[in-house]
Amino acid sequence: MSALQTNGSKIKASSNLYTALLALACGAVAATAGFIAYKCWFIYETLFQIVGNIR
Amino acid sequence: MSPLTKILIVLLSLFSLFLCGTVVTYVGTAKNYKNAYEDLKTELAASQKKNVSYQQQLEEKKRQMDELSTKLDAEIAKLKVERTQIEQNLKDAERAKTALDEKVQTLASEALKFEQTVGGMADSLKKTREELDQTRAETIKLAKNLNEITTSLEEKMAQLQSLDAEKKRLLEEKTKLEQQISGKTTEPTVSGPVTVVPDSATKAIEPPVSAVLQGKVTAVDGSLVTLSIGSADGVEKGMIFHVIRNDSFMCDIKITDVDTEASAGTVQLLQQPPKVGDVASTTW
Repeated sequence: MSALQTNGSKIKASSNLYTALLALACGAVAATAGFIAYKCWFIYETLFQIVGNIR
Repeated sequence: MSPLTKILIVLLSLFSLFLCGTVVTYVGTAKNYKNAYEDLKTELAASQKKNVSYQQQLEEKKRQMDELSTKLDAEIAKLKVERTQIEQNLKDAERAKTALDEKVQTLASEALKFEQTVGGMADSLKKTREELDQTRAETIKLAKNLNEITTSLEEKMAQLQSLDAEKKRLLEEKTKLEQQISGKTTEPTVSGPVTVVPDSATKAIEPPVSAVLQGKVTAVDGSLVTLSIGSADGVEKGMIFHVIRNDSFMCDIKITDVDTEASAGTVQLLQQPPKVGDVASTTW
């Protein structure tokens, strides 16, 4: 049996531990990304650009 | 789920956690270069402002310094001119000083010569005075001799007159005797001589007796002098005594008052004032 059980349109995870781990990892990455975005935006006022020579 | 998937999931989770942790740590501790830049920028602006103000002050100071230097240069030029003038004046003063020193030396030598000539003239004056005194003394002697000669001449004249009278008397007697001799008849008449022989002639016949009278000065009161001899010694009014001290003539004294043992007279032909104790004599 596969870990994902499809029952119609719903998808269910078979193992919650690994889901939790993945969720944790995703959360950490998201939080990190958010933190970096926050820092980048409020400090350098840019998000996706390389901070150049501000004159 | 296969075990490999599980393992990968676990590893992925761990690595992602690790990575996120390092990234967060790195980002959190990273230096805020923008703030630093902003701070530096403001500091730079402030420094530039300060620099501008300092440059302005510097320019102001330079301008003041230029003005001061021009003033000082002008004063230095003035002082240099004054210094040259003063140096010139100093040279002139030194020249004048040397000239005056030479003048002083010449005047000193001339003064010395003048002093020597004055000394010589004083000596000659002294000699001349001595000669004058000697001449006066000789003059007095000569005057005295003249007086004596005049008195003797007068006496001789008187003698001559008396002799003439005697001669006339004798001639008359001779004629009378001749008449008596020739006449023989007429009685001799006793008649006195026609001419009268003056009494002074008899006295004049006698040789003049010049008595040497000598005395001493006993008192001196201005021009009045008292002598130690009087009428008892033969002093008479009008006599002239010569006052002598150490064989030098002092003065003459003409007797005006005569006492028995003293006499007084006035000073004449004063050479030096007489003193008590000086010898007074009628001769030299």
